[in-house]
Amino acid sequence: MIQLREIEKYYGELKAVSNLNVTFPKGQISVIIGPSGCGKTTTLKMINLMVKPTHGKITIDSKDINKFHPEKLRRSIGYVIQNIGLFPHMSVSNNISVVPRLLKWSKHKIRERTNELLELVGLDSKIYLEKYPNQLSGGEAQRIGVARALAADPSILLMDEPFGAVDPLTREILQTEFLEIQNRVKKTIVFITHDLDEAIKLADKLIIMKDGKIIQDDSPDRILTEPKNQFIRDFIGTDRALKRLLRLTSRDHMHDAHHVDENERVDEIVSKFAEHPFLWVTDSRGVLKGWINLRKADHKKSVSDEMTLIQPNTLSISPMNTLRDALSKMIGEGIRSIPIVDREHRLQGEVTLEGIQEVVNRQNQI
Amino acid sequence: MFFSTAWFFVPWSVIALVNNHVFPALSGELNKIISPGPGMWGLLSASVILFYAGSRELKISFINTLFPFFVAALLLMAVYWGFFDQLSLVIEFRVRQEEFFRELTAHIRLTIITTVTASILGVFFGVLAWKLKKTGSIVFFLANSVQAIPSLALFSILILPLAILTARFPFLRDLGIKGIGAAPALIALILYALLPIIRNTYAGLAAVNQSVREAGIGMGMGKYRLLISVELPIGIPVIVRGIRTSMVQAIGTITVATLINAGGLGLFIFQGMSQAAPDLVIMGVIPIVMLAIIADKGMTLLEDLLTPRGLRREKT
Ligand SMILES: Nc1ncnc2c1ncn2[C@@H]1O[C@H](COP(=O)(O)OP(=O)(O)OP(=O)(O)O)[C@@H](O)[C@H]1O
Ligand SMILES: [Mg+2]
Repeated sequence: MIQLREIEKYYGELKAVSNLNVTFPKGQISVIIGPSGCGKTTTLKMINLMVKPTHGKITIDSKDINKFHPEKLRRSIGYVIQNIGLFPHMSVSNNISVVPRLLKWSKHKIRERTNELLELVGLDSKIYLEKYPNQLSGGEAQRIGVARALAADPSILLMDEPFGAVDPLTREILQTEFLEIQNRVKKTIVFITHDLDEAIKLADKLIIMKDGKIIQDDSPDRILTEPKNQFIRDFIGTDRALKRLLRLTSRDHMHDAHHVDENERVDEIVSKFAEHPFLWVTDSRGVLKGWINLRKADHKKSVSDEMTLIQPNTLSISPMNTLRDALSKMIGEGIRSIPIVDREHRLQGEVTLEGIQEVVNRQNQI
Repeated sequence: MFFSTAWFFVPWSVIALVNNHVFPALSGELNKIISPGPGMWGLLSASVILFYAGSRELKISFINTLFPFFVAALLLMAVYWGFFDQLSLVIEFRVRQEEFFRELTAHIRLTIITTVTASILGVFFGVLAWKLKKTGSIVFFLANSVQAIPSLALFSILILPLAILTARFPFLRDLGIKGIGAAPALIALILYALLPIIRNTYAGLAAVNQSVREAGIGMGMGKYRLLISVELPIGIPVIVRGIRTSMVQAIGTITVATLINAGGLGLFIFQGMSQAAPDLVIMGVIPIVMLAIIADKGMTLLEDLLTPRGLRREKT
């Protein structure tokens, strides 16, 4: 747990932040959001002693951070810098292993950890270990930045716009993966972003700043339902209902999907699914292959002859995707339900328009 | 590779020059001493300059870099085999061979001592100037002022204090330090060589991206560690470029150092000028130019070698 008490920071005459009182709870993602120049980075850098507050006290697990040796403290806190800041003269593996090397881990342990981290952030270690930063795409570089911060397995992670420099699609994938990683590693994370959707999606706790002050500090749901003042209302915009869908994952709101094996014959199943003529088709391992409308199918043929194929990753989403992803894909494709598949593309269930409607109705009642 | 073609003219023009030897039957003047006129030397220098300027502009390959050395080696071998024995320059050279190699060695020795010492001091002051921003301006002011003094003047300025010093502390004389000679020359040469190295070291460190530097600090690197494993490796190509400038500049300046008895190939140039003997002058000039080219190419190669892989231009 990180606590900031009465923190104030001046750069000369300029008051960068003031009157900061905030707690970043253990094992949770706290997201700081606010307009450019409102003091987000300054706040973050005070936690690892890169910026010294003019007034106030910061504690980590109730211990004053000034009691720590600055360099040792920084080695124990993962830091993803704004603009990534990979070392251009070091290979990916050397970039990732900076902190372990500072901590003088054994070569063997470092190598193992590097491979493990690359896998964690979804990059093939055989391909990436010996690459250099100038050979990476923006998204790859950001993953390496995250892997580097995680290298020495710190319990605290400071992330300054870690997904800032990528296109919306990659960003969404990175966010989803990030949540999956966090579910496993449970770090205390302070996360800065400019992107409200990202903030709402990731935050356990959301802190909205303006002009160096905290305006509201609460769970995203509370902020969306009870914005404290006009600034927050303007900040979160008019599509609050849709934004709340960002908090809900498909996994928690999917239904069982009606499906058949591709090797069945149409006439054998048609009576069984009289109520549900529209079916997903899977192979014997449960991998999603396509869909079939029994009303329009030739009864003498097999399912695989009559189905419409689905290309992997086009008409499906992962369980970690939000209901808003599901909704926007359904609207985009003009369909009323969307299949949820795991990494191996096995059918897990489906999310329907009616289902989302129900969720929204239920939320509006409370 | 337009410029490297200029080099093809060199052997041809030389052969044309000595065609009495190559085709004695045509001219029938076998024993005449040939002394090339200014036009010939002009043509030679022009082609060297042309090639040199061109090789800087174009990113030429290693093979192309070696090409002039190949031509030079051919010419030297030709001299050795007596191919050019009728050339007055070669005759002059044979007479003064021993002296020539002594001065060549002296020239090279002065260059190396100057470059090595100036590199160590220059990088040190460059880092100091970068780390302590206020000291920086003082360092630059001093180095710039030195650069502004004409070389001969600087040599002369140093004669007096050294003469006084050695008069007071005779043991210095035993160490070879005198008012004239190598000691004041070296001091002056090193002072000259400092500025490009300090300036490039500073520029190299300043060029390190701020977010890269902050990443280093944020990961828990100390100042010293940051310098050694981030700032210097990223800045090294620029630093080596500074050393290259200093080295080439030193090779030229050492020529003047002859005037205070420091030795070096300048000896032939000044002797030649005072005796109105162009061959002697050229005997000094050619090796100096070649040394400069070798130093330049060698340091360029070193720069490429020391550039970390991730910072090289082409993707590997
Ligand atoms: N080292 C510094 N010296 C002087 N002023 C600074 C320094 N760092 C930040 N500031 C100022 O402090 C204020 C807050 O900066 P900070 O970097 O914390 O903003 P931010 O919220 O992270 O902005 P952004 O979203 O653009 O990254 C800004 O007005 C900035 O100009
Ligand atoms: Mg910032």
